[in-house]
Amino acid sequence: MAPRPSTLDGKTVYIVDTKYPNTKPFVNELYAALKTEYPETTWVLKEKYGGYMDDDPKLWKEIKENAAGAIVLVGH
Amino acid sequence: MITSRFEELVTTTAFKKGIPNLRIVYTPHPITDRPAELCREYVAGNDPNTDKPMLEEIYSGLTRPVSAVDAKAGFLERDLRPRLFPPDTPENLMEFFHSRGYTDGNPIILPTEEKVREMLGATSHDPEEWVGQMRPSPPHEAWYYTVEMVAVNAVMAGAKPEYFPVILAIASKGVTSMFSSTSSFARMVVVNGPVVNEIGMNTGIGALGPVNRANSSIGRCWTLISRNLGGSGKPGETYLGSQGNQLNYNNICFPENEEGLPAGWEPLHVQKGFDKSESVVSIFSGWSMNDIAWYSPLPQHEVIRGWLEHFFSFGTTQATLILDPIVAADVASNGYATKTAFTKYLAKNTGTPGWLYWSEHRDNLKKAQEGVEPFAGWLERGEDTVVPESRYTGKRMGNSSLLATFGNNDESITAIHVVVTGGGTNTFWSGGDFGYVGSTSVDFWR
Repeated sequence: MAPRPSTLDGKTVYIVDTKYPNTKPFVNELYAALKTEYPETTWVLKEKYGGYMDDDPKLWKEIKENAAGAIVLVGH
Repeated sequence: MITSRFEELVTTTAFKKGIPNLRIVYTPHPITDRPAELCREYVAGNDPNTDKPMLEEIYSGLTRPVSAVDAKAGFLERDLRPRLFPPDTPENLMEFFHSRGYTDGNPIILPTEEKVREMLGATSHDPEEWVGQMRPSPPHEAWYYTVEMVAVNAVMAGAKPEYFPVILAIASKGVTSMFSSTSSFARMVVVNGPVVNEIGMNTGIGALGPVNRANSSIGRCWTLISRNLGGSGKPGETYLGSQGNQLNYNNICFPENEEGLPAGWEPLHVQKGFDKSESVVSIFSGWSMNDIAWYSPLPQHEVIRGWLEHFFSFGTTQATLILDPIVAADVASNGYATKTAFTKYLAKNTGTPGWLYWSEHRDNLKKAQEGVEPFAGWLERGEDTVVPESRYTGKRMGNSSLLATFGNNDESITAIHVVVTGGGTNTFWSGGDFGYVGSTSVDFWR
C-alpha cells in the first residue's frame, strides 16, 4: 500500500463512484458528509468510466497526479 | 468501501491481488434503491462490521501510517493439485470428491486413469496442450487448463468419449458457466453441424429435457469444468448468485434441429459465418427462459411479438427465442423468409412498457415533462402505456448498460436470436433474456 499522509488538511482526496445501479443517493450523502466533517480537505467526486467492472487507467493516473488518496465505492 | 455482505469476497479478492491489508470500510447492506435520508443515517452511523464511526474509519484508513505488515504484498501461492489421488474405495473417493467441492452435488463417474485415457483417445490433441483460460468474473484471477484436465471432467460428467471434441470446444471459449454475479447468470450452448447426429444428440421430442445422454452430460461437464478448472462455484467468494440458478446444472445444452428449419432459414452456425458442413458450438448468456404455447386466433409471430414487448427479467435489452419446428414453420409461412427477417420485424414492432421505459430513461422523462417531443406525446398517453421504442435494437438502455458487458450485440442487426429445436408435438416455444456470446469450431478439437 502507498504511504499515508499524516493529515488530509490541505490535501485532495478523490471519491470514485463505480456507478453500481441506484447507489447514487449514498455516494452523494457520503460526499456531502465528508465535505462538512473535513472542510480543510478538497473532496473530488468522480464517476469511473464504464460499468463497475471496467478498468479506468486514465482516472487512476489523474488521481496519482492530483490526490493524496482515493475512496473507491460501492455496490450493491 | 463496500457493503457489509461482501466482507469475505473483498478480503479474499484483496489478498489475491497482493494487497492483503487493504483498508476497507463497510456500509450497511444493501444500499441500492435506498432513499437519501436513510443513506444520510448510514453515513453518520457506524461501519456495521467494525462498529466504528464510518467517517472516522475512512479518515483513519487514509492517514494511518503504513506498517511493515500493511506494506507486505506479493503473489498468491497455491498448493498444486496432485494429478493422482491415492487409491481408496469408490464410496470413499466419491465422498472425497464431494467434500473437496469437485462435483455439482450429484454423483460423478470417478475419473480413473483408464477412463481418462479412453476419453483422450477421442481427440488428436496432446493431453498437455493448453485448451484455454477461465475466470469466475473479470476481476478474478485466470485459471489455465489442459486437454487432460478437461478429459477428467468429461469423465466425471458421464460423457462418452465421442462427445469430447464438443466439450473441448466449449472449454476453449473460456466462458465460465457459473459467472460470479449476485444476479445468478445462466448459460446456454447450442450445437450445430454433423457432430449432432454423429454423437446422437437429441433435436426432437424433449430436446431441452433430461432425456438424452449427450445433451445432458455435455452441458453438465461445462459446469464441472467451470468449478474445477475455472475457479468458479465457491459461494461468497467465487460464486455470488443470491438465489443461484437451476439452469447452471447443465446450462441449456441442446442442438439445433437443422432438418426442422423452414426453407430459407439458416442454421445458427451458418448465420455466424461457418460453413453448414462444419460442427460448431455457440454460447449464450442470460438468466431465465419462459416456456410458452398460446392458443388464439393470432398467428405465432404476433403472439411472440406481444410477449417480447411485455417480457421482463433482469436482462431487458436482449432476447433469444427457441422455436419448435412447427412454430418456425408457422412464422415462415406468414412471410418471414429468414430468421433475420423475423428478428428485424420483432425489433421494429415491439415497444417498451411505459413503466419500464420511463424508469430507465430519466432524462427523457424530464424532457417529456418539459414538453419536448416525441417524449411529451408518449407520456401524455399515460405512464403505463407502451412507448413506441424497441428494447431490442442493440442499443444500451438506461442503467442496464452493465448487462451489455457480458456479450451480445457485437454483430447482430438486432439483439434477438432465433434457434429451432424440438419434436413438433405442440406449438411451444421458449423465450428468454439470453444474449449471444460467441461460436467456435468443434472440428478443430477432433
